[in-house]
Amino acid sequence: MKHELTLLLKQRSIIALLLLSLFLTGFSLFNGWLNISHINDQIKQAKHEEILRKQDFLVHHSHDGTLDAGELGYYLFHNVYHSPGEWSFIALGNRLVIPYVQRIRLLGLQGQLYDGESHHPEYVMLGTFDYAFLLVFFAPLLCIALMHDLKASEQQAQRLLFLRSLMAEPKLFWANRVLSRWLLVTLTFVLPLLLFAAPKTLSFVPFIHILAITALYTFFWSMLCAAISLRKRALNANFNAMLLASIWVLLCVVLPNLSQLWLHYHYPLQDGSQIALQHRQLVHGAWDLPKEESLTPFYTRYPQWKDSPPVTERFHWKWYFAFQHMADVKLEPQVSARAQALKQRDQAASLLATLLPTVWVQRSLENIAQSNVPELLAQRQRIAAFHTQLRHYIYPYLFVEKPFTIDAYTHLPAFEDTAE
Amino acid sequence: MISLLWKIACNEWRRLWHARIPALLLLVLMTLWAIAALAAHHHWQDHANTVAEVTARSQHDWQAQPDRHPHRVSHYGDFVAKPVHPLSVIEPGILDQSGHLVYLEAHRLNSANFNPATEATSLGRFPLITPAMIVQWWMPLFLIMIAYATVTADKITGILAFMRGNGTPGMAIASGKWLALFLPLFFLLCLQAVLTLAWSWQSEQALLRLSILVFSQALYIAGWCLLVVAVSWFSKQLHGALLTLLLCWVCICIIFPRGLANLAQVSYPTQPRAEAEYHAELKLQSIGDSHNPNDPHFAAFKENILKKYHVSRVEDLPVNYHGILMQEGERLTTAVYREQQVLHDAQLAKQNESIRHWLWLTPSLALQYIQMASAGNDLPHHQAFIRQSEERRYQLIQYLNQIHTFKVQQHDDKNTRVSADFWKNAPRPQVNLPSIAVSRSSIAAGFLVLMGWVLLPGFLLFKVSHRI
Amino acid sequence: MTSLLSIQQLSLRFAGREILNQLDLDLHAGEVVSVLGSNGAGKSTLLKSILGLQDAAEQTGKILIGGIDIAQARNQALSHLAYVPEQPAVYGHLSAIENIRYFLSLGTISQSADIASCLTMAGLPEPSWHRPCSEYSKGMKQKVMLAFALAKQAKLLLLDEPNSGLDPQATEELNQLIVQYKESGMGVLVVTHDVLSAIAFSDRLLMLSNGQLQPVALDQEAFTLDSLKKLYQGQA
Repeated sequence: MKHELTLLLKQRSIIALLLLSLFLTGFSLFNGWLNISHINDQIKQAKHEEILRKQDFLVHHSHDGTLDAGELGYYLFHNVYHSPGEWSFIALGNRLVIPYVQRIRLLGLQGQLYDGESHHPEYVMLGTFDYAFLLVFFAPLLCIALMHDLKASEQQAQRLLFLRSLMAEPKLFWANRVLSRWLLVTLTFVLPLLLFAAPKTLSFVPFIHILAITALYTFFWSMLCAAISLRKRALNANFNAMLLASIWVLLCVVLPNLSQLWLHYHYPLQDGSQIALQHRQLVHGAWDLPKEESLTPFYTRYPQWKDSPPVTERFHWKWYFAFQHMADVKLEPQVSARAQALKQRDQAASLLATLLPTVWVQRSLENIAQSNVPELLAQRQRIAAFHTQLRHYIYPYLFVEKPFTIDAYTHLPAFEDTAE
Repeated sequence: MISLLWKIACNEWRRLWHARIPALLLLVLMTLWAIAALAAHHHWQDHANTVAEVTARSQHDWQAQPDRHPHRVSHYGDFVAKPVHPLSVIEPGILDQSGHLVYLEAHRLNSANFNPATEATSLGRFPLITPAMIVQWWMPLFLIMIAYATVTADKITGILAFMRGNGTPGMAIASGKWLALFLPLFFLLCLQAVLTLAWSWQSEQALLRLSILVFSQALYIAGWCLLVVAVSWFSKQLHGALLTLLLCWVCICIIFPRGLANLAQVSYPTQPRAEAEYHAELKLQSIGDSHNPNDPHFAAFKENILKKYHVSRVEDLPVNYHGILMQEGERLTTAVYREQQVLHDAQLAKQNESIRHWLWLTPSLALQYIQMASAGNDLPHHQAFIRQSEERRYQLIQYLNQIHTFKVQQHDDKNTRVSADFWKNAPRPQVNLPSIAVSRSSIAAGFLVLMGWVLLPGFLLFKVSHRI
Repeated sequence: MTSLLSIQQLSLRFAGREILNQLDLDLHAGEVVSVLGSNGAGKSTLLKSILGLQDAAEQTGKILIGGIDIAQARNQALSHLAYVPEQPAVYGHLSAIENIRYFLSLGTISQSADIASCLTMAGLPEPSWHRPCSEYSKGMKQKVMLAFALAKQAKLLLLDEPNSGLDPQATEELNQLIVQYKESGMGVLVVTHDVLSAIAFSDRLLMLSNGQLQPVALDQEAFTLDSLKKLYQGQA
């Protein structure tokens, strides 16, 4: 092995290739890290601003030490955060398009949930330059460049027969050649990762996980290259290169695309904006309906407020928030069907990942980075839970018209950030 | 001279045909192309259906409104779907990332903010195969695999030295080889264009958009053909030529575009939506609060109105003061929201600018800009759409506020219902696909880079073709 | 005295064609044997057989190297042998010393001689030892390969067309080196087209034809162009 490595590392073109790979890996990690730390900064700032905003609200809306619960529900925004995980910089995945700071009020949730983050759409389309991308797309090319002509290059230099006269164990010899190259390829990915992660004292288990995924994936490609470039009549390096490049195109682009098409065809998904639209229609329809039509079903769900003072005026906040919530309730089957379809898509994708190594790597890294669909669904659930908590906190003040004191205001539930 | 070029080109074709693998690769490329066209068509149809559906539904819902109070109507809102050009079949561009539905309602700026990219599974992180991508990525890749040996092989077997020795000029060989590579691909590009034209000739600016598209694609592919011949001429070994070309391809097509986009994003990050909304609110608060009787701005405004109608009390006004107040409020909020939009656009423009500086590194990205522009799926088109729909929103809401002012009796404001005929006649101008002129700066930059992309490898080939 | 190389009744059929037919050869220490033969006579096939690289199913007969059957203990048998191909198999980006060190690492060679002294003996000038081999002339590369054979401490040297592509002076040097090796007690088997050189350094001259080795009795004085032609035609 030692001799194979010196044989490799004395070649200038190989050194150049490895340095390029090291540089790109470093850049991808750095880029991912910058994106994530930008998100973290923004979240930090938003948290700071939220505190100021809530104090400001108190100044503007409190009258004689109490607040109007209805006004509070309508005007006060609560921040919810989608904090990146510790290892999110590995694979940015959905992170850049999912809002990392979102503002939620007591109004119907479904009308507020589906906003995307503002970003440059062209650049989101071009895709992110993160570790996952580089590993999935570039590592195979590196393997192909180093290993497409294992036998053919020796044949071309008319060295094959001589080498075969020297080899004690041909299998061992070729295994040594392949493994030394595999080691170098893997190192160009692992070394920057190690150097990057070490000073930041990131947790160890995900790191080992990423290491294992990297090593396995490069090993898969090394084996594939070896199988093709060491077959009996593998003496045409160019044919090998073309064959391997075709496999690369197939695994990295064509098959994932076809799978995506199949997935979308098989699990059709209603556009999220449609839910938001229907929510608006329901809410606006409610204005024109008799108040009982909103309040009665609401009271069957919340019998504890059934005996609260009836609404006699043209407008009362309790009626307003009741029909807001009822619009959510009416949409619930559609919303859960949507979540179900998303889950099914995700499961189907995980099934495909067992067949396509490229998809498997992308998925596994995104799972570690928590930037995938399950994480999105979990975040939506966290938001929904927070929204419910908020409603339940404010309802007593709204329905039995308990005075909303400043003390109650300071104890308003706040969104629990997952990162803390 | 011409017949000499033809002879060289024909000979090259015969060689490629004889080698079998190139023909096979070409077949694979065509299959990929067909898959891409089918997938893109499916995608486009999906989108076109959504647009048609939403437009029809919002039209129906709007028309079906009963007699109502105008302010209720202005909150009921209106939906606009982004119109898509049929050329999206070739390049869907930012269709999935930009969002394509805008909800228009009083005193709110709703940009198109839902996008399917949010909910994409890991599969969505793999680059999409579209006909544009075929030209941008896969055509050069297959070209490299087909033709990397075109001169190197002749060099190794000594044919090149033989030809040069017998008086064939190097430039003729280079041009002939280039022609042999470029013509079939150019034919395919033209074929695609003709088929697309036949399918979409009725669409807006079809001919102009398509010719820009084909011209840019032809330049791009011509540049690649030149590069392949030049590198092949330069290399001493077959796999040296292949690896050099593959490295060029990886850098130009994959690494640089993504790298540049990410650098732009990191160096000029956009403000998060929540923060932008909050800042807009702060600004609105500072301008004035119409509910607050002591607010200086609205006190002055009230004074003006009273003076205009020569009355001393709001109750004596011949028109509905609430409606007037609504108009003023809408004017102010719209100004703030538009300012916010301008700010956001400026952030994006800054990112764009930082990319434009480095665009010469990657003709692939330059081509993509042109393709997206001609398919109407780039940022300027999207921004124009947002502007149009915002214009429509403002017109509509102010129309409703006018009705509020003039048709609703002030003393019985809350109980008045206005005839539904007013909604039916409301100004809801159709949102049209903007003219391609909105993206002229990115098209110009793209073409500039593509010109360079043809000239540079051309010069390289010219230099290297004197060697044997 | 046992022979270094002993081939007994070697036959080989390939694709229905008989290439080697009950071929016998004995080569002793301190002996140089040259094998001549027209293109396609089976010289390369014979070499591959000696290196133990032929498919066992196609081959019958026995090959012993240093008394060890190559079919039974290939590695042990090959440790007595050094093969020098027609194109010097050095890696261009490595120096002479690095090349030899790398080649030594591949086999099951237990002990090896000092590389520097081997290079000196092969006649490679010392200043070039540490330069990459891509800068060497073909004769110098050939010397690296011969130095490797010394470093491996092989008793039997197998040379494939050692003179092809060498200028007269390099050929002369090589011929002297072969004689030197022989005198140090090694056995040398040369496969070549260069009849003149072969006559110069060989103890025996064999012609491979019809799958068998025929002794050629030619001395340098009697050698003419005409006799050479006859020699090749006779077996064609």
